[in-house]
Amino acid sequence: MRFWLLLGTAILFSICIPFMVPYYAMTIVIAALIWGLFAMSLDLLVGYTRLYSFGHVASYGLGAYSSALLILHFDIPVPITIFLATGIATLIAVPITWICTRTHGVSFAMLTLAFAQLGYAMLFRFKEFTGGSNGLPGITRPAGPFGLDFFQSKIGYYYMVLAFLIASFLICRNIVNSPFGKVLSGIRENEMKTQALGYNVRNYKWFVAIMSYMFGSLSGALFTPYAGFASPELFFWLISGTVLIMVIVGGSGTLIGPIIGGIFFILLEHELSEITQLWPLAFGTVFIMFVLFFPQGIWGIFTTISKKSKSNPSESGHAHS
Amino acid sequence: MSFDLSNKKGLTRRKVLVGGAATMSVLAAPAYLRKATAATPIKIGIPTVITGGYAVLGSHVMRTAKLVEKMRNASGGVLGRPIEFIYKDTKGEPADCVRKCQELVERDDCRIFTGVVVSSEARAIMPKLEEWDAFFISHGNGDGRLTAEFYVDNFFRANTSAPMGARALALYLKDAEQKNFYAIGSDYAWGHSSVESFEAQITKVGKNMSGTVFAPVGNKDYSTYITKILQSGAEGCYVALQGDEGRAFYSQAQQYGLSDRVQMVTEIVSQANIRALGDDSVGLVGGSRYPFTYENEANKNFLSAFQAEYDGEIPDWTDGEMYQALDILFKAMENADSDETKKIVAAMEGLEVDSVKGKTLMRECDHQGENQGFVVRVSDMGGSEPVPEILKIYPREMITPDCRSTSYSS
Repeated sequence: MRFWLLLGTAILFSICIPFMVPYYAMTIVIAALIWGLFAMSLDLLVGYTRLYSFGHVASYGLGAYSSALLILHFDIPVPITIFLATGIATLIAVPITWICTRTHGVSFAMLTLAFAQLGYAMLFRFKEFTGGSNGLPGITRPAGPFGLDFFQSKIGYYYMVLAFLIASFLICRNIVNSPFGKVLSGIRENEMKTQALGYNVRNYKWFVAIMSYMFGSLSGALFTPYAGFASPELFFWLISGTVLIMVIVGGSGTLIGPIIGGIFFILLEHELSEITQLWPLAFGTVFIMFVLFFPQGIWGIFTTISKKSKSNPSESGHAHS
Repeated sequence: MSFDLSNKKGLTRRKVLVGGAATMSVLAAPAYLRKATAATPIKIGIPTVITGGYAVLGSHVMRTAKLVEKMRNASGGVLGRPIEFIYKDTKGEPADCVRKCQELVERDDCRIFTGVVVSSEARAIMPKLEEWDAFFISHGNGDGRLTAEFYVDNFFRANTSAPMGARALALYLKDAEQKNFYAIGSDYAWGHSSVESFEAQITKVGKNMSGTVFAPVGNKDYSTYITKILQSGAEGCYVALQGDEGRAFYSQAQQYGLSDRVQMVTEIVSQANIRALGDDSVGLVGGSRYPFTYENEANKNFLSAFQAEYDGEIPDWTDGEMYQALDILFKAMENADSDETKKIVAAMEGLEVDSVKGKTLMRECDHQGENQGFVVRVSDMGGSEPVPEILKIYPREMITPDCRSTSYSS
């Protein structure tokens, strides 16, 4: 009940954002939501299965380039493009994740990184198709379906991104709360023991990796029509590190935490870069502070405070009296 | 002395209110007028690389912009209004550049851009200019296609493009003893444009290309590329690398003995690279987009102002190109008597300016600036560091490609 109340409040607040912030700020708000979704997709691997992917950028890049190419070559309405691009990228992810989940620990991290780098290299190899280092400019948000042009506007696109984020969050939440999700938690805590109990650990890991790549691709697919551009940076390995930081800062294993981490990261980066040219230094300091003093992340801080206030109702009541 | 406020013949509440309103009106009126006219700054967006591999180029852009802002505002600004530069960090990434420009338009109501460092960033924002009703003048974007197949009305290029730099160098190398050349470039728009232009130009003057290779953006290790060049048997090596990449390549080329066996030539001789290499840079031949040793009145003024501001430092090519672009922009605004995009575009077409590189014509057909072509050699002229010595100056008609093209019919 409390969850639905919180979720409802958050959705209501998000719906009101375009009426509360200046129009220009919506650009960065959309970016923050897309990154929040991307971070949440990695949380399925890192937070729930303890599979540290150093190549999660591959899902983002695949989604981004798929939607860019679909729009440039077929001019398909943007909502349909998003679904198709996510589908295409997920299909590509099936064999990749099958190979990656054959391994454990560092090997898994290295394999995912290798596939991401392979994708990055292929962008330059097939430059006639991908634009190479120049990227793919001039990506629009085609109207439709049924003559619907609401999503072409910035505000309309914001609501679409928001809808995808909420739907993805609810799907992921159902996954992690289902018996399937409990097995994932088992793998996270003790993989050998889970296997000894008769679960096909490999298949569980493979399936969750596909799901993770699917939501990562969705965020990438949402990015290009928003930015109007796809460039090789969307496939660059540094993004894998960035999104991992978002998960840690937000609070891994919580789904909502990485979304907050992604939003926090993008807004902080934006604000700091407005204030000082040394923003990466300030940003690094914030990250170190989180790792040293708040390892449970932003969402962890929130839940700790919430639990404390619940366990001490007399104190809080006294304070308010 | 005391005042009796209750005296109706003296100060009443009505009088106080009327007086207050009148005072406020007097104080507010000039403020309002100022807002509408003289004090409204002309905003110019500088979406440049502040962090990342090309940050050194971005730092040059910003220091020259700061100098120009100071100089211009001290002499009354532009159109009688002060100028204000707004800096944004694009990290050299096209998607970030688009986002930052969008923010400049929507938040700051800033519709004039310059200082974009990477050609692929320029390429990314160009299709958006019309939608934003924005004007963009390139100070250093080299990709030849920006004024050819990617041409848009609201984009002008004041600087020497990659084909122009390669053309000047190829003309110079026509009589050189080297017959075979190898080319290495950065794997993005400018690097490709530069190498392709050089290849086309050098073969046109009767030389051979032994091979070409492109290193990824941000590459640090050039050992495999250097081995390839050494094995190719080329006598000359054309280098299209800038920023951190250029410095890494030249210093590794020195370590591997490439510089001793092969004549290094480059499209852009950069003072930052010269400084990093020290005496090892002496002998490097290349094109120059802005040789600070060029003598004319405009450059003399710029050089003295720059060195006075920055403790005698030598301006790099980015400084000169940025100064030139801003100079051309302000002249166009003054001719247009406006800072509106359409009027600036109209005023800039066909504009000729005495710039720091001699006379520059912003031609109407493709918005490319016609600049003289410079070929320089790095020499030790007894100063604190080696400097580019001008070997040859080619007239702008010979250097500028055909209209909306990256090639030359003659």
